[in-house]
Amino acid sequence: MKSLSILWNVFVRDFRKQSGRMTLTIVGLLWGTISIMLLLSFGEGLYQQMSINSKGMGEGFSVIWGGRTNKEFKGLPRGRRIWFLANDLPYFQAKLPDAKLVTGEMMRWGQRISYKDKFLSQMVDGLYPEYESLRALYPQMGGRFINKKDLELKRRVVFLGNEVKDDLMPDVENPIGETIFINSVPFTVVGIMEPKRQTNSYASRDSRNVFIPLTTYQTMWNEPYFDNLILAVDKKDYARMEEFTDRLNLAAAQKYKYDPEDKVLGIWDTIESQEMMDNILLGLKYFLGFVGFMTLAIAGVGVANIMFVSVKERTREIGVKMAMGARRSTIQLQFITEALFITFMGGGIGISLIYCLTEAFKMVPLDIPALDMMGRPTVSLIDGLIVVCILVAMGTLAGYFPSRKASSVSPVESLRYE
Amino acid sequence: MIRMSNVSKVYHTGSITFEALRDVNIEIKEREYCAVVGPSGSGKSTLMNIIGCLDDSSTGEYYLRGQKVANMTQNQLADIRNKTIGFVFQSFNLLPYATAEENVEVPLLFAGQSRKLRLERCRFLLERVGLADKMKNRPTEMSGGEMQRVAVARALANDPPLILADEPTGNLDTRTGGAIVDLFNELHDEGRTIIMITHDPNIAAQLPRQIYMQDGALVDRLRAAS
Ligand SMILES: Nc1ncnc2c1ncn2[C@@H]1O[C@H](COP(=O)(O)OP(=O)(O)OP(=O)(O)O)[C@@H](O)[C@H]1O
Ligand SMILES: [Mg+2]
Repeated sequence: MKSLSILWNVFVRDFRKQSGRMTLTIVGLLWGTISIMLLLSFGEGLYQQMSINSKGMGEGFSVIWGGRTNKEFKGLPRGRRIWFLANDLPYFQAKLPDAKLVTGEMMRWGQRISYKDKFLSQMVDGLYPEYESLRALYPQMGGRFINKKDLELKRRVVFLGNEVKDDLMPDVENPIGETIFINSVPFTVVGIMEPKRQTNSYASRDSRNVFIPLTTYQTMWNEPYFDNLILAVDKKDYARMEEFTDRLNLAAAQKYKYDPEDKVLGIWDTIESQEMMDNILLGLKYFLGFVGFMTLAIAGVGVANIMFVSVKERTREIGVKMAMGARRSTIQLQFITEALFITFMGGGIGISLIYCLTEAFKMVPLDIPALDMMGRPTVSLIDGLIVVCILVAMGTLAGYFPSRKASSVSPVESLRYE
Repeated sequence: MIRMSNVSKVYHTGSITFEALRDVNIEIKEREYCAVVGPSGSGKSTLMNIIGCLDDSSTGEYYLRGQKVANMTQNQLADIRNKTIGFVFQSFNLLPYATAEENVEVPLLFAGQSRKLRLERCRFLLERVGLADKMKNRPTEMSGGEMQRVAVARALANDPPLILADEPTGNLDTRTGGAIVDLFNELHDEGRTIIMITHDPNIAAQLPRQIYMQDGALVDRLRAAS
């Protein structure tokens, strides 16, 4: 306890006496910390934004398109069209009971959508209620997505992409319940999609789509075939997606009699592309982190250098103090405390500064399209912790080794030091 | 107080070895007042540093107040330097960034004294050496004599029984040097043991005991004088 108070008194006194040098070191470290945190926060912001963007389509599923056979199979000719019917779904569901969902949708491009005197040409998508969470088609307040009842009763209800709503009925404050026309057939608006960032799509972007119940769609266009199937799996099965699509292909090959090795179906595994995207982003983040680390390392070398130089300058001082009865441990601890204090000050101020800055930046409502892609700089807790750890390690090393060297010789030697 | 038997100190500089002290046998009693004299390079400082526990001997035994110094731990040595010995250097060895007061404070700081006591003691000691008006001056703002008086005040900080002075007047003119010697006389009168290296024969002659050194060995007065 006593030696602690001695240490504290010596530290405070010397620190006040040599505040110029200390301040310089702190500023150097502050600079390094700000640089690395800036880089890391940009990386983190980009990473988060891109993750959100790439998940805008929903996640955890494969899109499967029908196609034509390329080989003859059991006497059947090549070039046969393999398309799926609405009543194929129970068959696939039975073959893939462990899948989260097997469903399908139908779509038609360039349909005439009108409201009062306005009209647009848009894609109409006939689908099931499950698409809401599957494809992240969430309604804005006051509205809803297409539900089971709509499907059963083949109701003429429509769920609009938010951009379609903006173009079609820009001044309508409450569009729910309004009637719009699809090819002159009246439909009641039940919901408007909550705006979302979406970088991937397999048809048109959801904000520009017009969604209606699949059954209504079928009666309208007398359409038996799906445009595509969707095979969704649970999170725990993400890694096994390929196995699921293989099984679906096998089931389809059995039912429609084609060689399962014949690449008839078009399959887009969004999990795989998601992973690829994640890896690219992670790589980018690591790269930025690496650049930042190098920056910090330079700052660290600076701190170590200043500590080292100061120990040389202060070797005589250490000699004097030891001649006056300072214990070795007190001297070493003083230097370590100094180095730690400096790194904590520089690092702490730097990290807090960047944190405040990024938080403040998030509050400012900026409507710059680049931000939709780039995201906004974000300080992540882990990044901050890592930086703090590196700084602390650096501080301890920079303080410990030079002072140990200077205090391990006899006081006479330190006093004679020129 | 001090007993040395066959103490030697060997320096190794590259492949050359140099014997700065050879077989020194000496006994200095409590309350003695000694002058150490001898030509430059004779090993006076080397001896003094070993006595002051600032350096260790190569061979031989050194007992300080009956305790064998070689057996002491680093912390024990530090405490001895702090409380038992007051060291005054020829080149002052003050901390350049600190004021007179703060320099005197150093041994008190390492003794773990309270702030109040430290300040009181600093004021008392600086008044005693006649520097009451220079408490806030840094070494660069003081004369050599003043700096050496600060150093003496610092050596007295923890009221040590043994004062070691390595040419305390070496960098001072005769008059200021005389004032420092007067100070040491006072300290001796108070009952302290004092060992002082000096080149000045007049000063040495004033002291009760002289220790003569030549080529790293103690010699008796007649041979050294010749
Ligand atoms: N660290 C060292 N390494 C090598 N030789 C040393 C070292 N310190 C002292 N010496 C040598 O030891 C001898 C004695 O040195 P010391 O400093 O004790 O002499 P001194 O009697 O105090 O001389 P002066 O009166 O000039 O101060 C000198 O010849 C010196 O060169
Ligand atoms: Mg000397």
